[in-house]
Amino acid sequence: MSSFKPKLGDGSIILPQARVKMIMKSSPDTESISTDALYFVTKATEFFVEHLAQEIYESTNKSNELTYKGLADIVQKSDSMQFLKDMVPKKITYKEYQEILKEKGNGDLF
Amino acid sequence: MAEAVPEEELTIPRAAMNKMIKEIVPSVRVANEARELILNCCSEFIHLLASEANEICTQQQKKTINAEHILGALDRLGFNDYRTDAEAVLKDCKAVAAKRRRQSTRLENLGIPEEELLRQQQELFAKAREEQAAAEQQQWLQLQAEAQLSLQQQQGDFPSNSEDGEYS
Repeated sequence: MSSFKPKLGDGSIILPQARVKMIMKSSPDTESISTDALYFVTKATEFFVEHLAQEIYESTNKSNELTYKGLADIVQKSDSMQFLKDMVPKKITYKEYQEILKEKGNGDLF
Repeated sequence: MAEAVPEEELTIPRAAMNKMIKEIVPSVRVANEARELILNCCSEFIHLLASEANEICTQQQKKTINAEHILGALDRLGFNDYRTDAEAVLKDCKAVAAKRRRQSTRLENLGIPEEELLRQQQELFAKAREEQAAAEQQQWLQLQAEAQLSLQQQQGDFPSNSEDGEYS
């Protein structure tokens, strides 16, 4: 990760902790979470978004748009973002898709 | 807006996300598709963090996920930067909160140590108890004296120089 200095590092929180808690609880086996722990998760998520936004901004040569493609590129490149690979697959044209199918052999997909 | 959202689609509310993006990259236009995606990525991030922390928590045989577990999870997942920054932020928060608590306690400013205050409090209680007891004692004696007097009057036990009554 390149040097990362969060803008939002002043202790205040923008994301709603209650919702973060709900999301955590929907993970299997997550029982109770301490107040401090919830704070950390919320703050970490904010840093995550910040990091993501900054990386995209920089990688798209300061263009003024944050697009799906920009996001997909970052996710593929960054090590720590590997867990998002399945969520942000690079878009391919139907033609490319057909070629892939041909290579794999149709039997694998059904 | 209390619709039941299926668990898999649970995300941070859009408004909060928009506010964040505005603060981070104010001059950038963010496509709707990208916003949606970031929301989902956040949920994924939270799930990942929760699972990892849960694992650490279970390994330590604890029931509640605490801050240490989260910090450990951040390390294990390769997000050390977030960890250090979050810790620094929390320390600041706690320091500010503690300072506020200290300023609002007037006793603290008297410079009297707690044990001394406790001792003084006990003294005051003891004194109050004594005064109460003395007052009750006084009352009791008074009642007794009055009762004694009325008893004497009833038994016709008058001293010769009493001018009460109608006996000649």
